[in-house]
Amino acid sequence: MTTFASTTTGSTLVVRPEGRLDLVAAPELREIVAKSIAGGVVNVVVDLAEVDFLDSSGLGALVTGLKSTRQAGGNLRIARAPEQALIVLDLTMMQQVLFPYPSVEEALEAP
Amino acid sequence: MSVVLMHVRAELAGDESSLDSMHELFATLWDGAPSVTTRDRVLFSIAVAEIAANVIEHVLPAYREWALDLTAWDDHLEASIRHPGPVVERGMTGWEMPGEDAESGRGLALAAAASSLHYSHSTDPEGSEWRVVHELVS
Repeated sequence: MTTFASTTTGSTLVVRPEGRLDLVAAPELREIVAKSIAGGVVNVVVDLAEVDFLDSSGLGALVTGLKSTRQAGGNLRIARAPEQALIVLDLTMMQQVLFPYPSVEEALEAP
Repeated sequence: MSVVLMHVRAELAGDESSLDSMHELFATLWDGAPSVTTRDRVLFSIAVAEIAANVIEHVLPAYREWALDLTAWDDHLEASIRHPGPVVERGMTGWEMPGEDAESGRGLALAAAASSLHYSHSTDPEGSEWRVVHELVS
């Protein structure tokens, strides 16, 4: 079962999923990001360090978050993607859209 | 001539809980084929998992089970995913990667990008088989 830990750093929500970010877990990530935006926190960093498997549904949830945060005037960034997630981003040609920052700090400081 | 290093098989429930069983099968497969590189494991498991998710999401609500065979050969990896029901329209076409704004619809395209994908359907008994083949380069 995938768990999600969330912390707010400044004006940014940092979400740390642990487990698989897949068909089962994707709806919860969408909900967490939607609630954050509704609460006025429109910048989100998803720390993927503890995600052991990312599938197209998980990727779809990240795209949903990216679009909805941008529509609200913010952004969604990803950090510390493991090799498996990097391969998924590469195969789907999404690395330009969801740039994988090497650290949460760099994702937080990105312009 | 190819040599089988490890073969695992399971009849799985037609719901999301079977994804846990699928990942456990992957772990057993890799235990029996330790020489397979991490990248090959990732590419093969992505392809198989995307097919499985597609089947669970779109086919199995009307049915109850699906079957998964995973085989590690010394020169390739192979999976067979079988499920009941009518022909899957997107089995034959629709493997194109959608645009970057798409929030869904990447599954089959991702599977096909990760490994070779084959789909077949039979009316006797009615059901489909997806085969995933991943050649091991080294």
